[in-house]
Amino acid sequence: MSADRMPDPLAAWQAMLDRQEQYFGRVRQGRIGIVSLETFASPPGAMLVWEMVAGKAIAGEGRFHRLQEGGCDLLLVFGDEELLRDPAPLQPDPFAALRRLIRRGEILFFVPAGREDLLARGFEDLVDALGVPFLGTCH
Amino acid sequence: MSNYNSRDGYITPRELARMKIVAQTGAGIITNQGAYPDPRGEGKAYYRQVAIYDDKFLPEFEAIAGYIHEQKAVAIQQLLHCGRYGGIDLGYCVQPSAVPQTLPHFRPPREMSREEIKQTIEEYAAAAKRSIKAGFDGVEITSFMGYLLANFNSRFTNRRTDEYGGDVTHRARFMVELIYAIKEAIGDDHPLCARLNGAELMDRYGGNDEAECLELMKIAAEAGVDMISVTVGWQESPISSIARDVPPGHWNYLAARAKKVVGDVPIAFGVRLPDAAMAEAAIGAGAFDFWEVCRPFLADPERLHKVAENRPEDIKPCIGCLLCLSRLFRDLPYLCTVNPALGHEVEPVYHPAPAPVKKSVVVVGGGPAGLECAVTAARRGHRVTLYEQKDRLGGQLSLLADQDLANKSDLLHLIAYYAAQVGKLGINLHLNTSFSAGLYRKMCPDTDVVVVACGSALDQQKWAVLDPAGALLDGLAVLEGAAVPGKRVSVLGGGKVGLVTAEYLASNGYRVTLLEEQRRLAEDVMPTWKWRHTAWVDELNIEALTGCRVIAIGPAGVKIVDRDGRETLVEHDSVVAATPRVPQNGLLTALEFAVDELYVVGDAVSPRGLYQAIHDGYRLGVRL
Repeated sequence: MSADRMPDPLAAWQAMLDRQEQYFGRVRQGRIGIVSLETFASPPGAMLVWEMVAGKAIAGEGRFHRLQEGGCDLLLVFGDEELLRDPAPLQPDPFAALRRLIRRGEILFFVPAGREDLLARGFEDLVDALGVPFLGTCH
Repeated sequence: MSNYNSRDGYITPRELARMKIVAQTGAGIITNQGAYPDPRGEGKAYYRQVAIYDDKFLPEFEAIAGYIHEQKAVAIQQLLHCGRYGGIDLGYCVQPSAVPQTLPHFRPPREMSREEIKQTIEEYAAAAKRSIKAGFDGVEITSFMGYLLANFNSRFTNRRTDEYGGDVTHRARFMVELIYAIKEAIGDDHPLCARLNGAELMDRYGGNDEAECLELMKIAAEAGVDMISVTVGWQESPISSIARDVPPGHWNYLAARAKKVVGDVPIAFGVRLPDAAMAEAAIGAGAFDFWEVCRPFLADPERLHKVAENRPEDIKPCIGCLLCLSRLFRDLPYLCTVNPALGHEVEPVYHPAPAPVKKSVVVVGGGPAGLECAVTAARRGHRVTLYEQKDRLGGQLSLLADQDLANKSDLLHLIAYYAAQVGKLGINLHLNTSFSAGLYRKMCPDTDVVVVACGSALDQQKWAVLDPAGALLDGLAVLEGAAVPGKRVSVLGGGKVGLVTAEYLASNGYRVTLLEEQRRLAEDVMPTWKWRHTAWVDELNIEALTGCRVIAIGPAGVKIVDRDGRETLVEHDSVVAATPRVPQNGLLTALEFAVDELYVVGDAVSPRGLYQAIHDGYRLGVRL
């Protein structure tokens, strides 16, 4: 595939996010960051950002420095770096796929934001769809 | 951690009443719940965690030490700084490195400075000294669950580059300094115990592996701890450690490994080990030295006495449902599904005293609510007759337990307990008998009390409108084997009954679509168990459609409409309905002016869960 025809990662992610409105509909404001395992282990590096405002998610680029400086409410760390460039393998049900990958440990997640804060900003459906035990759990 | 205490860290009369019972369990070593040692509250993770950073708290600690000594047991005080889970009143938590939590209900982390580390060690040592002053024989420090000591010991949460971070030996520095400081504060005549992870189960986050956990135990032993308690997991572990999907005895090997590396230091162990016989066998085989018991004592504080008296059938089993922890992690006092008196020891009404007037009591329904009521009433001296329309006891519980994907013997053991009690207490049992007003009139006027415990049933009326052909199968009938669906099945209802039904069918080769009107599955499932069901749904390839309403049921499939008004036909060979369920309490009307005392308990009041059923039954049984 020539460079002219390579899919634009942001466009591909935006197309995916646009089809998952049901998860973002209640989020008033928030930010999810996604980095590769390599970047997470050795920052700084590129970060994919889902910026959520008034129920809509916009894919953008960011920079990951340290966990606590990302300004993210949720941070996902992808074991498969290719997914950051092309989310096509997550289809047809991206959130179900993400949930499986999280459960298998192929995606790690961190929650810098507090529960009450996330609840107040409408994150519950989104976090639940990703399989993060929102209300807490003890196995 | 009971959450029975006051918000400002004082032990309450509720806690003291409970600890009196704990002291009487017959255990040889009794450890009081973790107290936070710092006045700032950075170590406090639970709203009602007890404090020991000042002498003002000591009178109640003295009382507890006294209860334990009255029973000739050794009293140990746990000192607990909760690290990355702490700071519940502060809005931040402290850790060796500022690593955010992987669950959303904690506070943002701050890295501790060297000075703060030293201060924390001093506060621990002072708290240890205070514990001895209060009369405790020794103290315990905890490195498990993700608390502060574990945060220093773990590769995942300790990313320091100073002398407190790096390889396992350096990460253990905080623990070693803590051990030395406490030993100096309390002297060699008072034991120092350490709870250490045999496995963190945080591997996917880069946590310690089992070899590093063993190394930490060796380091602690060499530093001078007098006993090591081997534990498993962190609160953030994505893998089950203590719930009933873990078979009893699964983790014993960790204790056995620890025993081999720590020399003469005794090993205590009890993770997912609810059975005394199993524990005794493991001790006999040299796997560990002390059986450590917590949740099984919540379920039945008299279990050791019952074992000693050779009446194991009288022991109420811990079923591993984690109601205790579900409540604890939501800042509520913990309770126990099978022991309604837990947490209410200070309330005389919860004690089953002999009935001042012995009554004839009829209980209609042999499910958990009816069984608990019958057994409790019989223990108090009432003459109890129990009617059950099916051929066995247990009600819905027996159907759900039979098909449960977790360790079903936990639930079946509970039913076996009740069956044994029915026999031993001389309860007059009538199986295969449908109770009616006509049957009651035959016994009148000898019956003083009737308790309606008939459970719930599928709301046939709701579905009749949508299913005029009557094609629907009842989920419980499917679980019982009384109804057999075709290969492609739509299951209506994503609560606990629907989930167990769907999981049972899918694991037996059926193709299942689960339809739920709410936004999420498992809304009526215990919070700490929801994740287990959603994981099974994924693992068994059950198609789950949430937020959809059924608008028609036909032979070809179920027509649903989603929140955006889109209609879809979900094709099937059969449709099984698990919800909604309605209380079966028609007897209340039939008997209202026919019996002196008429009551209703359990799902016959309102369909809820096992905990509510057993607690309903008990609360009535102790009052009759």
